[in-house]
Amino acid sequence: MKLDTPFKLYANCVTVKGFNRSTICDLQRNDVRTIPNDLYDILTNHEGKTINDIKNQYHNEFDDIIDEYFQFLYDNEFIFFTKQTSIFPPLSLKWSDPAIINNSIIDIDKNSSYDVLKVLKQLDDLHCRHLEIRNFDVARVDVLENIFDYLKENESSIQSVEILLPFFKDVEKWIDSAKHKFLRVSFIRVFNCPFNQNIMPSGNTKAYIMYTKQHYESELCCGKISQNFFAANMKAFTESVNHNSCLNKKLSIDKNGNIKNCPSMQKGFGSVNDTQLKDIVTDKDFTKVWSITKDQILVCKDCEFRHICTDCRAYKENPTDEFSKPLKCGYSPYTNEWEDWSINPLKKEAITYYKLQADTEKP
Amino acid sequence: MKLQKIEQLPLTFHKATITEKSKIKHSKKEQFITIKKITSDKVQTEKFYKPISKIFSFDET
Ligand code: SF4
Ligand code: SF4
Repeated sequence: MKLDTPFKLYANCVTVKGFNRSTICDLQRNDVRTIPNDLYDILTNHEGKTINDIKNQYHNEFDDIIDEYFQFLYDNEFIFFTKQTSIFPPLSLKWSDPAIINNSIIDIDKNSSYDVLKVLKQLDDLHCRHLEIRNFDVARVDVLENIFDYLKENESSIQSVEILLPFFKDVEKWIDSAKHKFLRVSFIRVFNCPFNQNIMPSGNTKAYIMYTKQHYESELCCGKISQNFFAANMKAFTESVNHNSCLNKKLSIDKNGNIKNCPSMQKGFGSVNDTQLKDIVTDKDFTKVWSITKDQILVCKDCEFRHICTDCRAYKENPTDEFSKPLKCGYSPYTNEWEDWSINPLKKEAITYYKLQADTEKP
Repeated sequence: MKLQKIEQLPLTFHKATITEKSKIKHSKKEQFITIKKITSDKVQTEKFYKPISKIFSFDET
């Protein structure tokens, strides 16, 4: 460590201040650490100074602590030393994506009769690249195979397809052939299984496969907030700074063929049978939720994880307040503890309102 | 000698209501928690950069 050379944070290491503590997010390495707010203040107010200068600013009262802070930053490659601090500008936190829609959820159940291929064609026209297809009550293998064939035969812009489906006899065999047949399948999640297992991609297939004993009833099971879902990459972080981290540029079709921001939202924007997706994406009512950021959401705005966290606007602590905290978050930035949200008495009313079955809703 | 109060600079994206601290406290080891770190640097460009729906993920099973 150089005590007399100014220090700089690497531009891809961004700090976020929370109520009790802060985070330092290395957006290139997907590495997030919590740090004391005092260190956040030093990094914010004294970047570009030397360590000895900073010690002097504190009248050398806290030299050992300041050494400890900088040793941590240096060891983890969050900072470097340079005399030419001005040639290292901060990272732009702007976000942009050329696609009109960049991700979509399509729900299909045993009664779904809408034309999925028609939806895919329209999603292609909107340059949608990432798709999640969810089956809750039965695995609609027939529809899934039609989708795979469509995507294969047409020059579709879809880059990745995630699938959620319930366990059925020979599901493993089916997955084995499907993942080879269609290489753009990136995740297959199977619930209701007699076993738990995670399988990493192998060979030339890209698919992660997860089998879980958990039971998932319907779209009501979405919206969980968990560290498992945190995304600490440049695109997700900057998107969260500027837009809603779940619903921005998302368009979904619920099991009845209704066009929605996400299948769990109550408001629909017409049926795919008689409405064009391109007409919906210009509707201000539809895109309104895209701009709700974590900095506007109650509690989240005080949370040190707010820009790596996902959001949920379908299930909120206060269903009538569009800026209310996600209902299924058990974290408090005021205590820094994670608790089981589904047994929190303060959330009982909202759980009843959304008709959630708390026992299948645990994170 | 009195500790100089650290002024909070306005940040482009930070709007949290933060209580100012006038004193630096000793950091404890537990304060530096690793929240997320990937062990492999294999980049999968085809994958979406965030979870699309939030039902279950790898670590849950
Ligand atoms: S808004 Fe909530 S329920 Fe809808 S997709 Fe996002 S996390 Fe899921
Ligand atoms: S309070 Fe919960 S939902 Fe809000 S940013 Fe923090 S972890 Fe995420």
